[in-house]
Amino acid sequence: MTTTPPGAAAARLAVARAALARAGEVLAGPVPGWRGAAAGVATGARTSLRERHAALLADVDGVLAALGTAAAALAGSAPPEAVDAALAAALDGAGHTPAGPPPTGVTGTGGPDPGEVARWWAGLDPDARAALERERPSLVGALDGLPAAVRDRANRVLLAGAQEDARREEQAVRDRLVRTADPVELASIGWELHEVRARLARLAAVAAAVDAPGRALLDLEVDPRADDGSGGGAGVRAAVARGDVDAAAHVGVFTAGFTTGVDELPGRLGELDALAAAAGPGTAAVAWYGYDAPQAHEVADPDRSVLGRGPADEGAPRLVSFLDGLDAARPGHEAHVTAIGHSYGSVVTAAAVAPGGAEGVDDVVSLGSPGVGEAPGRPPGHAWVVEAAGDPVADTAWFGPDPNRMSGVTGLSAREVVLPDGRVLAESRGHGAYLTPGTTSAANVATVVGGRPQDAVLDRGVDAGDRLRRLVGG
Amino acid sequence: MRPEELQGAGRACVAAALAVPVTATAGAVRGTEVLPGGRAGPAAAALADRWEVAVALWSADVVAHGEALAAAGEAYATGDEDAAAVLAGP
Repeated sequence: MTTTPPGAAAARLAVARAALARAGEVLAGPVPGWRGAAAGVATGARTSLRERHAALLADVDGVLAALGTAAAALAGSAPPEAVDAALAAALDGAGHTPAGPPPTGVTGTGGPDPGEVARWWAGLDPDARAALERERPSLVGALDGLPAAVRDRANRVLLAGAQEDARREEQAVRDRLVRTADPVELASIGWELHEVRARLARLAAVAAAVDAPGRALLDLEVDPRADDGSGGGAGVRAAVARGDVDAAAHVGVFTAGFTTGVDELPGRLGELDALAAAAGPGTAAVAWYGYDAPQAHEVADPDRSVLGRGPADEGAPRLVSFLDGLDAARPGHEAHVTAIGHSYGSVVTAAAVAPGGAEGVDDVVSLGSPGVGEAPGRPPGHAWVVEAAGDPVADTAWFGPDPNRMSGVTGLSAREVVLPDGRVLAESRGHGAYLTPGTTSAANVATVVGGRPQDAVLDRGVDAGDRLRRLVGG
Repeated sequence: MRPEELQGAGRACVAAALAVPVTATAGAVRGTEVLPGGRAGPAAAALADRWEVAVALWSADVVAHGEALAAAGEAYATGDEDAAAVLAGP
């Protein structure tokens, strides 16, 4: 390593200080016109960040002064040994400013630009990356654009912490339960117990899903306040990969639909294991449960109903960020990415790949879709649909034209097929068996994910439901 | 308070934090030496390590703060729309 005399180091440090000072200007002053409790919390966080920034600058100023003194002393023929000792003492005394606690409330809806995040991370020293991973796992685990292995480690730490918190909470609620005789309070505590146990079950499902070789916990968000205990995934969102999304040539990202939640992750990962194996070597797949899917009890809620766009509009920016992050984490050697949406998940996926959305998605597959809007989201040859016999949802055309009747969309078969080698692929029937291993449907999705759609068995999946819609003018 | 101002302030924080030259401060002192084999060299390297971590943590926390502001702005916007719907009546 080349060495630098104190004077030259001081000049470089002065330039770096100026850049650091400019970065802090964004924190100057309060956010205009904001009052109330939330503003108080934000102002507190802002003040803490400003103080840390000022302390960093003061630290730098101290070192600048020491370097200047050393340079002047050397120019004045002071004994180098004495200058060396004095400068070493000054440098030893700097850089000990405490970092302070991490800010709270990081639950961005789209998050920072994954490309910027990736460049920021690439510019960090390994020690700084390690410190961030250790000290700020909730931030590191949530940032789209960071390497999968880094996010996995951080999110596993978060998962263990969330499970521990929930177990403590359950114990505390049980303790209150045994001390209570009041019937009203009993009912209230009973509901609390139900909620925390539901969260524990969801966290256990996530833990089970990542408890296998080659699995990675790419995202985990736990929000006890959103946990209504009524099933689905409210309160816990997660994305789990099988395979290395940072190295795989092909990556499939599956988004689930109505009534789903992280509870089904272990089973879904089993399907994705089979799908990736059928797609071929170098394939990774992700079960993305990163949005609050609409639930059965929310049908009458206009903002959350499966009949409306609310959950899709809320979930799509999250999916865009996640999909963009896949490519951002591996600049220069992006994967072939297929976005797969099932049921209402196809509505979310379509919103995510619409113009202005995720750019790195190469193919889109809609399974049992109630509609994907007016355009399929990708050009002919890269937009695919599967409609199984006896799937009433796929004929509703609730969110635009029936995808299996849209031009530019290629239909993949879900019927029983006998392959040239004599093997039989089973038919998928109904709404929930599109990725069942051994079916034509799952095999077809695998060919698209694996980048060899020429091997797919095509079929537009037109059945009695479609003919009925045609008769009634749908 | 206008939610879009809050979201804008949040985005500005994130952009500024991600643009921080995280290693510049540390890089400026790393390699500083008065005497070959002297004490200042190792002290400068150790300080560079500490500064890398400190600046990275600070910039990461500004990212988190910006995200929280943007999320709060979005929550206010949603609440405002809900309130407007209530006032508009059935």
